[in-house]
Amino acid sequence: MAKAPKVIRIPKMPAAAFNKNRPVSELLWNQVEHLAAVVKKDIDDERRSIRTEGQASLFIKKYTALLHPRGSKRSGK
Amino acid sequence: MSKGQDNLRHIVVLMMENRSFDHMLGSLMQKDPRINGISGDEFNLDNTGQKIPAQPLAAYQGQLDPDPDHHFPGVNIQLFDGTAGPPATPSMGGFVKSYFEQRRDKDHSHKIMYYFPPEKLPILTTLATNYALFNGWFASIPGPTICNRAFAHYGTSFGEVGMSLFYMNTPYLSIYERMVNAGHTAKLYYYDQNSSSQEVVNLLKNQPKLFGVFGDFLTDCKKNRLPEYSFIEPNYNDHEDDDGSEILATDQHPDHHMLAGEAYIATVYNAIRKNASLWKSTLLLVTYDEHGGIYDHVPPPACIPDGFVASAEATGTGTPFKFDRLGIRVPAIAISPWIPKATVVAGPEQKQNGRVFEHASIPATVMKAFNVAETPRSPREKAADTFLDLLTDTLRPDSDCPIFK
Repeated sequence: MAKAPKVIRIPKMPAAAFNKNRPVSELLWNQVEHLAAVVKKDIDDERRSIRTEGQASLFIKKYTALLHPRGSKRSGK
Repeated sequence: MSKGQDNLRHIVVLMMENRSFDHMLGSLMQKDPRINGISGDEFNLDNTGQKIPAQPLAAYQGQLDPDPDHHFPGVNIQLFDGTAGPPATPSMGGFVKSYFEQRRDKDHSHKIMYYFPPEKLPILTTLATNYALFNGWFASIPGPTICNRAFAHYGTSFGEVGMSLFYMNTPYLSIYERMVNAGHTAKLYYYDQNSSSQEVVNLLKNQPKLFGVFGDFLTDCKKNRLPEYSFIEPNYNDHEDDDGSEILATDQHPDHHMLAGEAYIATVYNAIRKNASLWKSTLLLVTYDEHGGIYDHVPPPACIPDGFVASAEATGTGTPFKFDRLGIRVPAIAISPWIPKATVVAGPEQKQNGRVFEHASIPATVMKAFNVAETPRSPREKAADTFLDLLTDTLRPDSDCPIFK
């Protein structure tokens, strides 16, 4: 019969280890800054590419929906 | 080429956060004198001149708060206290003094010298003693996370020594782009969207197809569709899942719970280990991005300059940096059934045969493993040592390779 491999137990974590209220670390803060910078550039690029009324309306719709999600359920007519 | 290299189809890298070699694995020297860890003679002086020895008192959580300094000027103190500074050989004597500056609490500053006894980290120490442990794997820069992780992705940080890195108009492609352009497969797996990718936001934006989440990694392992090269990121923050369940950070960054990281390393290993064909064709590397301000006793060696220079203003030390010396030593373990049990890869402690590795060794090894056609690469990556030679002709029996449960 083949010998079984050695089994090492994975240690258990105490429930108190979880703390989502821990102050944000510099590492996470930098991650937030990086994401914000990339998204901001995206919005700026999108804004600068607008040439027509139709393109403007799509941009306006996208960011109005972000600010006021309930608005999508109503018609302006 | 060895049979192990001949059978190699996948390389997987798991990069954890902010722990030094001595802190995590230094205690293993008591069991195996080939391991260049804590001998019992290591100490730093504190701000009153008292000798503070390295002690096996590290705790899983609650000990390293505030987060120890690991920015370039802080690391300079940790490295060169008591010397005239670079290019002198680092004294490794300023860790306690550097940590004291953050809280002005003498007793608390001593905790930067604490390390884990092996039984407190059963997963990492099992891997270290069952596969290949590197005595001389160093962070790429004596500085923080982002610039160090950049070396794993690009073989350079493009002259950056800090945290603000945007990879635009860079002269070298990431290893993932190089692999894909050459007809190979590569992927970065981040934990989930709450955790996201730490350092390659531009890549996430421009090349989303290169990314997956950790659940995809587990599925890809099960279904035999793992890419040739995979880089795995841990979970960087405590957060709640969509169903409200608590998800612990697994990165081991202070002050996250160490055992969550242990379990994460075990999960990555098991995902490969439990698929017989994947296990025989995969080389897994577990390492850490940098030391996180925590004590290590080995002076980082010099290295060839990277072709970039960080200004005196950027380094914050009053002196420019030519990327001509490495950061502080970190844990690194290469795992495969083709690696003999208890391999110790000698480091700078052996003047003749010692080898030095850094994070640029990762893209260098991947390029070599998959015969990727030469493409512009940083001087540091071109000079970096590779670790495919650890794979031998002998496949260890299944019973000789542990599993975690």
